Amino acid sequence: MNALEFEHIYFRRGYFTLSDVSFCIKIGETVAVSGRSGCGKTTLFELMGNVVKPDGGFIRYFGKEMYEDEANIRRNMSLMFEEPNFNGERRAEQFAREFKKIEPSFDLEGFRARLDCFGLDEKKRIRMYSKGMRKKMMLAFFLSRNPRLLLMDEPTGGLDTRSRTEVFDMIEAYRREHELTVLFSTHQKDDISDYANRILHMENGGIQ
Amino acid sequence: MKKFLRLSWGADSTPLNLLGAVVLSFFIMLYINTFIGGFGGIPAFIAYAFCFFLIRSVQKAGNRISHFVAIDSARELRYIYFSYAEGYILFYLIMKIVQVFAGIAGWGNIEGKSFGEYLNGLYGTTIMERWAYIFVLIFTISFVLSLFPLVIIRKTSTWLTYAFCNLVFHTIAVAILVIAAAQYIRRADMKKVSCLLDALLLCQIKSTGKVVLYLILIGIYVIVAVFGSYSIARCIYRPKPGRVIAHPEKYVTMTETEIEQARERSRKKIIGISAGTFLVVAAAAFLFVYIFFIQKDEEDRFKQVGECLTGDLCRGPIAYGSTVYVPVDADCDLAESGVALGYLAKQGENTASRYYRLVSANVLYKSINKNHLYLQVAGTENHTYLPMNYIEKQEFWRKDELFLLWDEDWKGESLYSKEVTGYSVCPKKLITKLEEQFGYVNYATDDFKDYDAYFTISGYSDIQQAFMDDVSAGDWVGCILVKDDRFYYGSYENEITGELLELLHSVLGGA
Repeated sequence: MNALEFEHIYFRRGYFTLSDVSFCIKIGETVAVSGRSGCGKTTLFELMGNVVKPDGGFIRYFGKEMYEDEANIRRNMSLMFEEPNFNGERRAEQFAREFKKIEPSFDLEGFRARLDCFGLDEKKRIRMYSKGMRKKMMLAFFLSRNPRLLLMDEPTGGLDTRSRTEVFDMIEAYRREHELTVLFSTHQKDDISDYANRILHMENGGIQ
Repeated sequence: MKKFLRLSWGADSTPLNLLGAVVLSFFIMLYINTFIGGFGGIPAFIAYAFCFFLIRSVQKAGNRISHFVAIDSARELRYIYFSYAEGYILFYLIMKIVQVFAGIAGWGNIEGKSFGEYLNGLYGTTIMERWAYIFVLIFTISFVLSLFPLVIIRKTSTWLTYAFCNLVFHTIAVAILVIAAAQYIRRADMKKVSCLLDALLLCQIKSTGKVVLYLILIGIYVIVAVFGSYSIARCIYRPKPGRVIAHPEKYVTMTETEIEQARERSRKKIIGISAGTFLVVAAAAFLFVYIFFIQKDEEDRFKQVGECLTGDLCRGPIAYGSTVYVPVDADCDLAESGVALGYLAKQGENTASRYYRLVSANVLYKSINKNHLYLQVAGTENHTYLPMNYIEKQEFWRKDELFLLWDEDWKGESLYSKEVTGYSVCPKKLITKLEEQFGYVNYATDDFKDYDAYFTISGYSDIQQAFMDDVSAGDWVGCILVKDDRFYYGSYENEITGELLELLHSVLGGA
């Protein structure tokens, strides 16, 4: 079974179009999406998260479309955008506690341990973190949801080499204990060669 | 709301979004004031602008909670809906309270009204008035809640279509309610109806059953508006099954040159549409201002200029400024040819309420000829007045043969008068003696503030004049004020005592 499947996706926003995008990612794979700025990488992640709806085509998560089993798909999928799309005015620890009330399976202890591992102060407001720290905090948060599918838009953008290694090491550590499929976009050739099993290269609004 | 705000943020808050929220809120405020009436204004404008901007910005940024929480769209939408509803109601109430307190503290409260008086001025004093305001408040809140899908719709054409259809739906709903209310509105009053609130204030529903029917109607409306709009939002917000695209050939990636050309075409189109829209909006705004602010009857600008000094509206004196006037039998058409001065209030009447302006307003008119002494009141009452000092000097009563002592409270036997008919025949001897003893009376408005009983003495040529078809004011002779069981002739300086008092008692026959 595929963890994620795009079948003949068409999408237009302004003068930008995605045309006949089709690919599938098998369970357990780590796939990198590469391409020049503006080629549609972020749009691809927005389509995955149902932020925007495709004009045509099918997106399947573990063999099902979003409308068929939405809560379960959302439960198994963590979508990490470039910047946090949650309340940055909260303290990391405070936010996690609020979050656990809604999603009881959230691993609060694991979250604290991961923050600790990254050397992040959990008492600090999220928006007060630097860009790199925010990315690490987001990763710690999303992994603590125990996802089966981790989608990350530019997870290493703005990170130094050491931080990049820390990020992917943490993902690997998680993968050792859980079955995880990863899809991430990046401009870094090292990320692709070091961590991805496969590359999806985007150009002219399609996958080459 | 707390859940939504604790988790979600990261708004896509560009100045253009803020401008959009302000423009939309302004339109909503105008719509509420124009068609529904009341409960629009600045509080509604600020509450909607803030609430819409806050939630819409999060939505526009694509920041869905369900991206990081295991909840489905339906549950997420419920969070957003409650945030929207609670947010609007909360901000509206806060703004309303601020507005009322600002008013009471002095901003607009130049007459120094108390909290109760100020609220009564806004929302009336009778159950019928308050019922109309409550009805309109429910309608307004339901209307705002029905606009919820505008917060979550991302596609411009769908957004505009929903906004248009919603306004059409509500305009029809308002029309139906006004038509239903029109059955209980006097034909002459129909021309005063410019919105739903006016119709409700003017309709004279007396049966409880019909009031219940009206409440059932608003109940049905609330259900349709709130649940209908929520269902539409849910339909739009939920994930949809994929579909095969009909024309894949249209999805071609454009070259830089093609994009530049398309941008140029788009720029020209936007300028054309903006200019056209500006002209249409300017024309609509001009029409709106003309119809509702310039042309609308001048009564809205009236203030209270006079007050009846007694409860006897037909014969009792009135105060216009510091001058006392009395009713006279004269035909005047000052309401047509004269100048409107402002409202004439009955004793203790509140002229600041919308209900008064619509239903029970009395406007005082004077002649454009400065030598013309008459005043006329037109509205629910219709009387003509002359200044008291002029009447006192003229002594028109001297030619009269019949004198009647009219009790202000003539509906039943009172402490001071046994006559349930409301008048007692007064011998000319009493009149002559009163005039001999007191002569010219200097009437002061303050004397009429706290009397215990009041009687007007009017003179008539004969019984036919006194009780002709219409109510006759007769010729003013004077008045009796009773205070702490003491009787006075027109002023507290003129106490009636001795033989004159006995004669008066024999006429009144009270305790």
